[in-house]
Amino acid sequence: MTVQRAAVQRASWRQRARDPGWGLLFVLPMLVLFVIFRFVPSLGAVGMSLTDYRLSGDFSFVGADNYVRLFEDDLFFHSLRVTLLYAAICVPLALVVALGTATLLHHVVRGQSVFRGLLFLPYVTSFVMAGIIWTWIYESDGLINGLLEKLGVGPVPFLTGNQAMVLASLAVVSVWKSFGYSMLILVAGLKNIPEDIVEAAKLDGAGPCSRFWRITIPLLRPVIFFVLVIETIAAFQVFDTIYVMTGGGPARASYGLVYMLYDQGFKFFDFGYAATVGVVLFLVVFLISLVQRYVLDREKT
Amino acid sequence: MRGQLTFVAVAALTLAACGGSDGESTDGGGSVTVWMYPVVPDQDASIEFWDQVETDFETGHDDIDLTIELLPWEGRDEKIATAIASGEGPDLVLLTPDQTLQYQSTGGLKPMGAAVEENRDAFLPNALDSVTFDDELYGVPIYHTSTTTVYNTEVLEAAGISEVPTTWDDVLAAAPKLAANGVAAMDYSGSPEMTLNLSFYPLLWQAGGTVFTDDGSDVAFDGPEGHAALQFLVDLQEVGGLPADAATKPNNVEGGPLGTGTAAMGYAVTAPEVEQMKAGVGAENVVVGEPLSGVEQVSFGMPGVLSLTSISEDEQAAMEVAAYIASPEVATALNDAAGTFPARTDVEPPTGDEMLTVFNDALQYANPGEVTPSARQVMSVLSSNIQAALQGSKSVEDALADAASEARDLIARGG
Repeated sequence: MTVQRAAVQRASWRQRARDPGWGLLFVLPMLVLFVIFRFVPSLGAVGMSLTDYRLSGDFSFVGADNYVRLFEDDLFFHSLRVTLLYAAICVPLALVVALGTATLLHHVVRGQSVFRGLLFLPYVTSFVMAGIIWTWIYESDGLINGLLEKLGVGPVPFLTGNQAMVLASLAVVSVWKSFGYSMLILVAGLKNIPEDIVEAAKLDGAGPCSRFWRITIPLLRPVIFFVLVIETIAAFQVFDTIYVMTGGGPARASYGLVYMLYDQGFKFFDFGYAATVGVVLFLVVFLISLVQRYVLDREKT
Repeated sequence: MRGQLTFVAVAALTLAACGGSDGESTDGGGSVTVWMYPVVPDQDASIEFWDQVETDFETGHDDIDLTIELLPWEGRDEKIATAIASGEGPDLVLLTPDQTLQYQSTGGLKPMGAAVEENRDAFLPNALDSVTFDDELYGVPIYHTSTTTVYNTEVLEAAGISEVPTTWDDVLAAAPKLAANGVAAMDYSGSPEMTLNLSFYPLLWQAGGTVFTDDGSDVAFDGPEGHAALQFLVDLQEVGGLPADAATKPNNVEGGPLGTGTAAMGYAVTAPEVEQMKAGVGAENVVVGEPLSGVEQVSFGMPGVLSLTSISEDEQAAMEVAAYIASPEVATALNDAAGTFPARTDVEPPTGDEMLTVFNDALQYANPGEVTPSARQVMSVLSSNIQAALQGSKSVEDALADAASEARDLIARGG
């Protein structure tokens, strides 16, 4: 095949700029909002972490003092451990639930939109209200323990027990609340799997299990990667559920990184230190996203 | 690096964007905004009361436009901090003494001695002292709280206890008998959101100890008195004398152990809470007593003060408002409506219910809390360690030692 080169004239710069130019114009409002409310405050926070900013607005530049203090702070490492443990429970759970419901939804023939709406419902509730109501459900004389009592099982200390129990209970609430979003993304991904590949597999005699593991999952890999990244970021940013349900307790068992940020900033008014926690949190999540990308987002084989 | 002004604007925008302040800006020239909290516990009564104060004040001062905004207790520190940091907020705000110190030391308040110049002697000296820093007054006391013990006589009699427990030994002796009936001897709230002033500190003071040393330079709660106080709680819990979830439960009388008859007594209860308890278990079963005694007889009681924020643009008008709200007429009406007690000696204590006399008498045993720059941080550290001790994951010695070492780090860093 000969490459046709001579026939195409080099378009003028104005013509070449036209398409991206229009694109930029359409994106401009969102870009402006993004810059004002995300980019600028993020840079501001990085700057604040290099100072000892006080409530009155006075501050002095202290360089890396806050960072040195952070890496010598036991409380920081404790909250980092708490956050990692929480993410280790929450992210796989979220992925499994989202994938499971997406697969079920994908195979529903009638009433798919009804089920989709019902499954998405928790996502549109308020985090605070969900936290309050789930606190009641988890209480030692609440809904779950009341049902367990009828079965003769003692009260389970969902929010007052050991760290693993508390974090798992919080993770359940978070997953319940937010799996809808990932589920919809996975449903879209499932719809994109070409039907003929699945049919070919059926003709080759592959059962549903091996179809799922050998075809669906590998083809869903980019979508799963995206869902994992989103869920990991959300798990590292957990705050509302902790604030409403356990206050970081009991005995700091659920004292996550963002809760530490809130504590330092708004209870102790140490804004520079809180900003430092925020910057380090950003770096941790960024690193994890890079690792996930390396593991998952390879070229299609 | 950009100019300082831009940086501060950016940081303020950050705080304003993520904090969401809801204060109104004061236009200067006689416009004053006050942030008030549910001192009057019933919401409707609260709205009615403060509306009346607004109207009465504006009638006497028609050049000043007064707005009293009513906010909930929850999240008040975040809101106040955001308001001050963003420059949009109240001129006057209701604070506790340790909040006053916290905001003063971070530059959030202005001195307001001029508001009480004429009748300084009329105020309780302790009340004024607790908000005087660097020889300047940073708050005008508008009421004083008082807490004392309250008993559920019905459950006490059902367990065969004829005399109400007034000392720690009495409580420990009564606990097993009450536990046999499924009743906790004493209510205790260990939630991280609960102030220790109403839970652990009164017990620490009753043991003869203090949270800080006299000059505030070190903590003292890890001494023998602190051990005694925490051990008292742990021992009590072992014999079933505390509610099952004492380590994490929040402080509410209505719907809580005191209000549903599953706890026999509380030791740091306010008058409005006693009303809630009466509504819950029947007024004939509720008796108010003197503060509990360990080695000493102490309870918690502190003034509520109106403080002038650093973002106030019309200081003169704001101080007139503060002086008015602290005046005898308003103070008497407030104490009536809220069940609080006078912070002035020229105001009659509320009469009516005989329990109010008991509360007023308890004022003599009232400790207003230990106000130091790191008080709140230390409280947070101690609170989580007490939770650990009550949950059994740390021994009493370890809990207090860990709390003390973390607190010392805090103080060394300057709070």
